[in-house]
Amino acid sequence: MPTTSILGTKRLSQRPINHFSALDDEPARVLLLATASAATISRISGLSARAAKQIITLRSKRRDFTLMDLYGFQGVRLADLEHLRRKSVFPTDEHVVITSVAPAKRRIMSEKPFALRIAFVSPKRTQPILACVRVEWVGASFGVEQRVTAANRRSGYVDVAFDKKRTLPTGPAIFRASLFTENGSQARFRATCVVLPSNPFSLALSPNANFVTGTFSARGVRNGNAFETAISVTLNNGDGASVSVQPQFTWKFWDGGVGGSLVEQGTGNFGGSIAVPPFGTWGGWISFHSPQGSGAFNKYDGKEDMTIEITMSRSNNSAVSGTITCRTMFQFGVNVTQVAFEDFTGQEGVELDAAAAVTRTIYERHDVTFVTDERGIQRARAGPFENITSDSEARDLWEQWSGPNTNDNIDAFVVNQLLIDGKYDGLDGDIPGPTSRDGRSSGTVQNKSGFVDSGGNRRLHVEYLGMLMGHELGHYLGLSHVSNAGNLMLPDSGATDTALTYDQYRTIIRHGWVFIS
Amino acid sequence: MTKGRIVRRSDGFRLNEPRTPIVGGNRRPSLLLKNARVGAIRERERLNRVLIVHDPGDSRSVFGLRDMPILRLAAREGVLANQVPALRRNAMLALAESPSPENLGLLSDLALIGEDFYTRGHAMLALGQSGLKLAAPLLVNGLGAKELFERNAAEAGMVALGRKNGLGFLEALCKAERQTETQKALQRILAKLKKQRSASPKKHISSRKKGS
Repeated sequence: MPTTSILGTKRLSQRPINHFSALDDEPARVLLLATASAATISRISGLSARAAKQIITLRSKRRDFTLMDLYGFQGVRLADLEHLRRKSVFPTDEHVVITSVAPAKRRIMSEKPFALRIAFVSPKRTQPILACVRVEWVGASFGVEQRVTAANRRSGYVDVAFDKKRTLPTGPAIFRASLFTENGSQARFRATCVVLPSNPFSLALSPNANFVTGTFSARGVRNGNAFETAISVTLNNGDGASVSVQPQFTWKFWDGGVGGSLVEQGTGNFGGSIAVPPFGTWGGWISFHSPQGSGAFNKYDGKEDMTIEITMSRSNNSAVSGTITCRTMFQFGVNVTQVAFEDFTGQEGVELDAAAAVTRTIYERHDVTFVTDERGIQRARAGPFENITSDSEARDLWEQWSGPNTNDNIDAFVVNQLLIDGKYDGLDGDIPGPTSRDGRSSGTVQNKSGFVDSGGNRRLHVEYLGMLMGHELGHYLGLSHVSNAGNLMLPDSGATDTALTYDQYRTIIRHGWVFIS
Repeated sequence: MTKGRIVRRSDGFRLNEPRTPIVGGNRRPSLLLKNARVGAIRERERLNRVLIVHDPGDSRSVFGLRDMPILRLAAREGVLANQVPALRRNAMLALAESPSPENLGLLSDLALIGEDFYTRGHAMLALGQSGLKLAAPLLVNGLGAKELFERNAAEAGMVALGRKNGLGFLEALCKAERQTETQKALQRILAKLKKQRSASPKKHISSRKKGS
């Protein structure tokens, strides 16, 4: 009788525990030009020593100088000034910059109060007055606000307290910090921290390739006459000493939760030795293959949920285990098409893939998944579609370019600029979109949400673009705008508005291009 | 059939929440300081939402004069503020809807010495949307920019300017232009506008026929 087996295992590289997600903002080195020395200006901005000295001379004459004043300097290139502007706070600026967000005492321990340190830089004339932190964790998200005092302003940081009512369990938590000034300027910063176990060791499972280890379901993917299931394993060490773990593990598929009826079980091995660093994490990946006739295949085929349990042993033979629900999901396909692909840098291409993964995570949290086909239209052939300036241009794009050689995928076109009325950054044809390529509404268009980072590199705002693609795909799948707070289909949904209701789920799965394996 | 599965069918999403109990439950109380939210902060939060309306399905609120100081701040916030790009772009476009000297001064600064091509491009687009002929020299300058994005934004701004001021204005600009490449760009814009103009009356007639 066929049985489930391990298709493969691998070790996953781990990010720092307080910068755990690739979507986090990077800590910034910022020049406060009102006080910086010539050497610091030169080091951080890359300006020549001569130009830096000119700034110091200018500052001694005029304390309220602006970027415009620097254009008169001899021998300074425009690119240098642009770089300086991106890295600096000028004396005349009216905004604050968050330079980093991290636990005040280096790490957060489960079920223990903690403080989150928001470090900032601000010009003298504009100081922050309010710190806000929104926390996304395994439970319902919540917010904490704290006034920024004069002492905080002098020290350049504020420690936002999370008391015993607001402790967190083991696992990653996303902290979205904002600082507001009295005049209404705002700086943001996103940081993901792993909350380490106080007990002090744990094992957590999460779906394959999700950005932040969560507790939503893993998915069984039909591949020919088999289902494949991939999961990530994270070992969390809250102790000050390294922990050795045996590379072998046992796996079980349960029906009705752990302790219900056992569907299948077996063993696997990550190979080599495993040492979980002090106050750190170790990550692995397991892929299961369940052929037709196996217990897990039959459950998946019958659209039943299962629970996967993974157990590993520490070197002292004490066991540690974790569980995750797995199920098949409704799915659809998306052609993610770069319009004028020569305009996308390699980094932007990688970030577009990451944005599509963000979109997938949004949908998988609600039991719908999708596969992507990455495509591109040459600039020479893209014509006017590089910058969509009207509804009719978008419809021309869908009419001319949607869907060659694909099986019922939704076409999501990503363009350099969407300039309809100069305002909007997404567009779809009809709600719901058609299940054919005929007509002029078979696709979505979204602005690529590009920016230039403080190092001068072209980037895409992955989290926002992922949400935006999800929003426009939602229209294609039949969802109209709603007013529920936090919903993906809000007309003004932001990166954190990713919820879908059960009614919306039922609408999505009725679309003709959505199916279940 | 297990009890868990019956629950799932009544609410498909509940099972995605963790099954293992969380110490203290899955909710934490928020701590919000109502008195600390001065008027400008409340307004900023409201404008943050209004500025990121995605698609033309919902019309955006009209901005009032009292919004302008905060919109100017949002338009100045560079990459270190970690805002979504659409917010800054739309703040610039909102400023152009109310072309006061302060707003135009800021947009001109950003179009001229913005720190990257996106900033300069979006400012030029906003200046074009303002419909003010005074914006033309900056946009003409942008048509010759090194970055494609900036050139395209200047072109889109010029199209907006042409729509509001008529083709004659663009023809005059074209004749006055000495740079061959820029002149070609202006001719391209003129051709585009002429094409759009010739297409629009037909649409109007057909929609009247439908209604009649």
